[in-house]
Amino acid sequence: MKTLKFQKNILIFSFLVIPVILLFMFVVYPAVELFYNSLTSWNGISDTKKFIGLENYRRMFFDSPDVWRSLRNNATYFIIHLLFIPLELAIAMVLDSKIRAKDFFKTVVFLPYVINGVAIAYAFSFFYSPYNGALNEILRALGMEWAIQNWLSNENIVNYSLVVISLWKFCGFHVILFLAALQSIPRDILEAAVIDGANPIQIYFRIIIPSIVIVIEFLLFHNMRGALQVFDIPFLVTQGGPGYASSTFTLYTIDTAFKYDSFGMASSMGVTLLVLILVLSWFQKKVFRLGRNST
Amino acid sequence: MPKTWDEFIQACKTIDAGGKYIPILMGGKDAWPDYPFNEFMPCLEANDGYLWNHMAEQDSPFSPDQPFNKAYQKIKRLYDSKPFGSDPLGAGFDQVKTMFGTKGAMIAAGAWFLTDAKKYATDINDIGTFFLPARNNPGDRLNTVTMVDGFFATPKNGKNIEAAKTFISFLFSEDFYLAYMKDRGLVSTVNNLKVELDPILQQAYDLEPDVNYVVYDGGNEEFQRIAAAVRFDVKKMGQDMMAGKDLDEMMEELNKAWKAARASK
Repeated sequence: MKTLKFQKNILIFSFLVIPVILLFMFVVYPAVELFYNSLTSWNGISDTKKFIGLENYRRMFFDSPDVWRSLRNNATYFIIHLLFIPLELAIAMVLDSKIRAKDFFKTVVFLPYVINGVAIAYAFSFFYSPYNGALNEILRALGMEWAIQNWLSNENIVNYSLVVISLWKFCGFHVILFLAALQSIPRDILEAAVIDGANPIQIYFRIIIPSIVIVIEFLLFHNMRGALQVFDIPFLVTQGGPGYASSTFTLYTIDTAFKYDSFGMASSMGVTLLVLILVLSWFQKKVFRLGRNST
Repeated sequence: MPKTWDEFIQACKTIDAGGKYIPILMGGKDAWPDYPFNEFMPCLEANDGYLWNHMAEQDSPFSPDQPFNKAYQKIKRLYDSKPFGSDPLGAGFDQVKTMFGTKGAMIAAGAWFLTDAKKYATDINDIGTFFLPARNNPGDRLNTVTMVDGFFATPKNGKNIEAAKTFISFLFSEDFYLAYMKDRGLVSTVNNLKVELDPILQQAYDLEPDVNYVVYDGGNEEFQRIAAAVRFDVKKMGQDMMAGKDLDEMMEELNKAWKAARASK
């Protein structure tokens, strides 16, 4: 008997069947394969996959100093982006206020995020170039020849040079997200706070921050995930060089899979990255909520 | 033209002392431009295009008495003389090639660079070519690497194998081959068919009429297995050498890793 509930279930099932099949095909099955491949020494080409247990993980953790070097480089991206989050919020607050040409500034701030990554990498390669590069020419024009460096070849500096590119590309996106969150705060709450005698600092910490906490949490997660997965900028600008000085975890993983035919090892790195993102995000969320509760 | 490796290094020093040109445009940020040195010189030193395969059969192919190490010591002498300007790793090939003939005196490349060379040099009559003088003595025969550049294939179970063979014969016939190879700037590999090279490229052959072709092999399966296990990357090694890393230490570490990789089969 076709009851209403039965009809409802049929409807839900028919809407869900295709997305679920696609989810299994392109997410669940590859994830299961990834876990399995991480326990093999598969080279990505041969028909057979030799099971080697946790040997890939052992080699990655204890026998691959360049993996740890790459992770340290990821940490550079994470920390510097984290330090810029308050500045991004400040910029968003300025854009939310009554300033002239607000729309123009919003466009300018967001534009780097939509520009093609390859174009950005190429442009910054010339910007940092030791031969008539714009940065060195600007420093010369300002009489600051002493500040000129080997921006992309000095192992102590190259990661910071690349992080600048990442900040240039992503800060605008964060600012726009914060702006949207700020604009969602009801104006009457802010007006009531002013009438009640709250000063700007109290308004900032007691009203604005709690109102946009969901966006802050999202951005913290986005920062964590982006920092651990950063690939395009170091790949396009320096290919992880010189040597492995600017290599990141994902870049190292891609090299392992496609340059050195070690799909098994690369799969173990993929699994490790997944676990890292989950664990560090959980930890970050705990620390953030602890900080919120203590205030 | 420099005839030996020491003469080549000295020529670079002379150009550098003049203060007008960077002796060799490298584009080291991209790693691959150091291939004429870091990839090809070991087999030039050994006069053996199958060197990688032979190294795969040895436990310690990076020892001082082996051709790889000897070639790299020669490369180190060149790199230590700083012929690539003040920041060889700071710019890529696309950036430095625009300076050919204006701020850079030489570039190590194959015939494929000729079009760009003519584009960027202010006076094409001022461009010349010579084979990399990787030999130690002027009396030694000069080795140069040659390799397969284009591959043709047809499925072995295909329906038109005879037609494919006929087509390949046409590609190598006088009707097509000479014009095609001249356009590509490549040397003829067919007996009795002589390609008329661009005069700029022909100069290198005229300077060294008795050049010895070392046919380069990219490495067999065993070599690829060991190289992958060891993460053997000669172009990245070139970058490390340009950055001043200790070569003897690199060779020792490679020997250890190579031996372990061979044993792990």
